[in-house]
Amino acid sequence: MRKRVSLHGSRIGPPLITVILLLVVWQTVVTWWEIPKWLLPSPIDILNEGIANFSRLCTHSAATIKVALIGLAVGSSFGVLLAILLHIIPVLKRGIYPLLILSQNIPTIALAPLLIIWFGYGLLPKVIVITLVCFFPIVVSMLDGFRQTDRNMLNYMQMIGASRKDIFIKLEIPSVLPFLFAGLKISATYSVMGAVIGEWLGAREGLGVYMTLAISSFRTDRVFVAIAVIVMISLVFFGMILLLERVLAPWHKKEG
Amino acid sequence: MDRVKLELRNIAKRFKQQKQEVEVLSRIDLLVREGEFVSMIGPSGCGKSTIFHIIGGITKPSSGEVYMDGKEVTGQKGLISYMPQFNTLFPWRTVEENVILTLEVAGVPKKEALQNARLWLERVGLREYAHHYPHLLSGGMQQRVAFIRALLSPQELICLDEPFGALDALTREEMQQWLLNLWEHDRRSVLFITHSIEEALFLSDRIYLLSHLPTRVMKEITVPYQRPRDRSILTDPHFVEMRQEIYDQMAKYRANRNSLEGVLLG
Repeated sequence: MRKRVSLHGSRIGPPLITVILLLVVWQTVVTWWEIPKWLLPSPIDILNEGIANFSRLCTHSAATIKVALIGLAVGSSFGVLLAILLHIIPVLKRGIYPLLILSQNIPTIALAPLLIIWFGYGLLPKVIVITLVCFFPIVVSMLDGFRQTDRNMLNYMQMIGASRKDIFIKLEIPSVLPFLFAGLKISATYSVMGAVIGEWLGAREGLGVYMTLAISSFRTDRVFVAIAVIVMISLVFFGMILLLERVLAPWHKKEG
Repeated sequence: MDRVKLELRNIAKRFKQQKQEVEVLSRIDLLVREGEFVSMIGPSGCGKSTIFHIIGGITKPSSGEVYMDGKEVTGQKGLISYMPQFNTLFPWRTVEENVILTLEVAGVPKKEALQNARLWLERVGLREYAHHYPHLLSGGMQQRVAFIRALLSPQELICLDEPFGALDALTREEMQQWLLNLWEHDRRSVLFITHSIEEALFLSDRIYLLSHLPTRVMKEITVPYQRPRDRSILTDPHFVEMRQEIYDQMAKYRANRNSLEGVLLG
């Protein structure tokens, strides 16, 4: 689950070369065997289509980004609050946590149509979908972090007479921060996916809508364009969380 | 000098382990007078840390009481200043923020606490590291910071749990002298855990020799050296004699114990 992405050359170099090589192979195969565009467009076709469609893509991307950000904000806030609540009240954790894990076996795609029946085609069902996919990694990761709070530090705090509140604020919250960010990195990537799934099922604009339209008119090249844009947005989200982590938990990065 | 700061009366601790009751501490009687430096020596894993946890109020003794300044305080937390065996500096706090943790917990305003902390860091030559994160410091420096943190906390009794255990021999010697110099200025009551006989003799006014499983006080030793002390006493014939005596005592005890175990197992 743990991903390591860095903007430094040494880490980004090798995967970048791999991607370029793959694109070259793809391009060659498509040109060599003259594969029809509706079956598998070449990278250059996709790029051209992307450029030609740029302004439409921008509008759709903006819609998706907006939904994803709102969903991520709601979902991660919910995740953080739930994790804290379950941590502070152990009885609640025992009662709810197993159900939470079970709930993750319900496929989001199956749930989304229900949400649309209940809440219509507006923003709300999409935000709910994203919240459902986003909160879980954060809760799991944070509860894990709370559990791993250094025993010696905890003992120390108790010995010097720290109150439960002191222990929570001065010890548990800072030590859980790196775990929160680990969860956030996953949630941020999921949030874009959640937004697209939400849009598939019904929306006026967004990359999901763009994709559905492209599929129904056999514009495979546009499907690929949409996929490429989704990947880029996810990467940007991921990068934002990384940046936030560096600002809010600087000691953690320096240790690694 | 004569008032009793801390007194343990008849402390015992039993743990349940796989349905069997194991006695870890047995009838521990121990006291620390005001301004006195007292050490406990014992084999590793003999429950010395449990004694601290009982004094600190986070472990309940199975029987017996803890008295502080003549009042019974068994199970009360926050009455001692404590330096644990393991590094417990918070990695997300800078050196000076770590040092003021105990003051913060005691409710001292942050500004005042920081002023105090900087004064101390200056005094021990760590001023330039005040804004560093602990992981940038060497092991010895981290322990200095942890000790300053203990020294700054408002409680009068300081409990040090093998503070130099993880350091290399040279750093350890340096730290002993450093600690001694600071303490001789400050003269707080100290209860010190170590398994180094020499360290205990060098630093303490009195030493409790502990046995293992259950932990009992085997012997109490008064160290006759005046203060301030320096390392020259380490080669003093009487010092060497005392060290040997303690060593023999512990070896004898261990031999007895091993033969006893041999009998039990055989």
